[in-house]
Amino acid sequence: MVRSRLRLWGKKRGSRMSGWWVVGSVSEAAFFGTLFLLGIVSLTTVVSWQVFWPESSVLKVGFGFWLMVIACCSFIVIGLSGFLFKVSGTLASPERRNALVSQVKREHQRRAEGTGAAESTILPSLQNYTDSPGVKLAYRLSSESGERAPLLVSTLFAMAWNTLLAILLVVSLQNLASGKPNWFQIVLLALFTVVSFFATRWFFRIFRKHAGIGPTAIEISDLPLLPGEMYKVYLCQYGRVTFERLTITLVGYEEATYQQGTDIRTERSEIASYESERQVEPDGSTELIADPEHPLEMLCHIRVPFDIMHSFHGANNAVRWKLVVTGVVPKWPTFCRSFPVVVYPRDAR
Amino acid sequence: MADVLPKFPSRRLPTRRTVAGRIEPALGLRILSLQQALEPNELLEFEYCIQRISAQMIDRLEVSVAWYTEGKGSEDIGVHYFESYGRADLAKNPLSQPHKVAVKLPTTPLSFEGRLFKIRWCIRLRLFLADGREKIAEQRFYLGTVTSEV
Repeated sequence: MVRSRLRLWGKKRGSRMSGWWVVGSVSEAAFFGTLFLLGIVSLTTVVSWQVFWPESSVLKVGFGFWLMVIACCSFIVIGLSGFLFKVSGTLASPERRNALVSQVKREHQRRAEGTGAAESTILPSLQNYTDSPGVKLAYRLSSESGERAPLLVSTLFAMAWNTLLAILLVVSLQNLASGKPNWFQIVLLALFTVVSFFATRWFFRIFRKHAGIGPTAIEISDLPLLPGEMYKVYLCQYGRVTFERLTITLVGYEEATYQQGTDIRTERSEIASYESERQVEPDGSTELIADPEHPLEMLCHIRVPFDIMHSFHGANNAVRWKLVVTGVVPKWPTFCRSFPVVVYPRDAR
Repeated sequence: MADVLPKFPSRRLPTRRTVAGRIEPALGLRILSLQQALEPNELLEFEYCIQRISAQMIDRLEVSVAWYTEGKGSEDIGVHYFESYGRADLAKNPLSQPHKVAVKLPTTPLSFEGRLFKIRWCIRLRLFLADGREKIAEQRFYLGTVTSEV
């Protein structure tokens, strides 16, 4: 009986811990407290040494001294914040902590805005979506910023690798010219050339996908999107391109961020998609051709269903909605661009 | 065919300890609405009672209406209603009598059942006993009309 009460360590079993949870919290608090004390003692020693024995060669003011000061300060900050976090976690329930944080946030928001009720923090703010007025419809949507990341990465990688290859090539040629060929360098050069070929091809593929088709502009009649409502969506495609098929779809994703070991991972899954209906032109034309003088214009209608889940931005979980423009162009990679939108519940506006 | 016999623990079950040594308090929690699914801005009415324990053995009682996420991602939590009652507050009324609470529900977040995570709404009673133990009772409800299975 005594043994089961005094178990000092535990295992995580689902959402609960076996053993006595207080021991874990106390140990963590003790660790952070020790780190804090270590930082204080070290900083005091380093600084007081300089004050009382300025002629001493030990811990002289210089690179090493400032490195020690920074290390000691980081110990103090990490130790103190960790200790306070652990103590607050042990003394208050999750509901109490959350209620206190919410109250402070509400007070801060109320003071910042003067009066009025505090806005919900889990719904994304409309300000980022409605700051750009449209030409044909109310708002012009901005494209998702993350889509340019692969192009940037491939550009940097291809440039760096090809620079490396050029340096290696020059060194190898110099050795060959001086009559001292280095065979290891030549083998390395061959391997580098293969990697360079694939890196350059990867860059051109992404570049062609982005730059080959001109920019896309999307405008929407109103924001936020509300369940059960119908919205107009206007698309304008610049550049010179002929599409076989072009669709605008409202797509919802759920995202979950979790910790796996020391990594933080985000997983994403599509929850729903609703395709828009194209409004037929007065002359009955259904051609999807854009040229530099006459960009392709398309007006669509999209109905938001009644049972749609609203946008949700938690600290670790999220539901995001976006308008995805997908085009099929002959002899070209699939064209896909997305424009984030926000969906509110019916009563939240 | 093999005979499969049940395996019993070598030591006796500690029945005396749980029954005679330490009385477990009973937490009662009931939603007064007829249906489990509630609409945003609707009034949530519930009642709770605590039995088999005196107010002197209680340190604190926390009553909350909150949402939390459940699933692959780390947990997010949001508290809509929170009340904490100390021993003196609890001693004013008999604990075994139902205590009614009415809370106007917010508009967001609606209950959601996704593949990666779910948003759940619940009423939670957290009872802190004077001997350091903690007892929790939870009653879930569904907020909104978003389909339960996505």
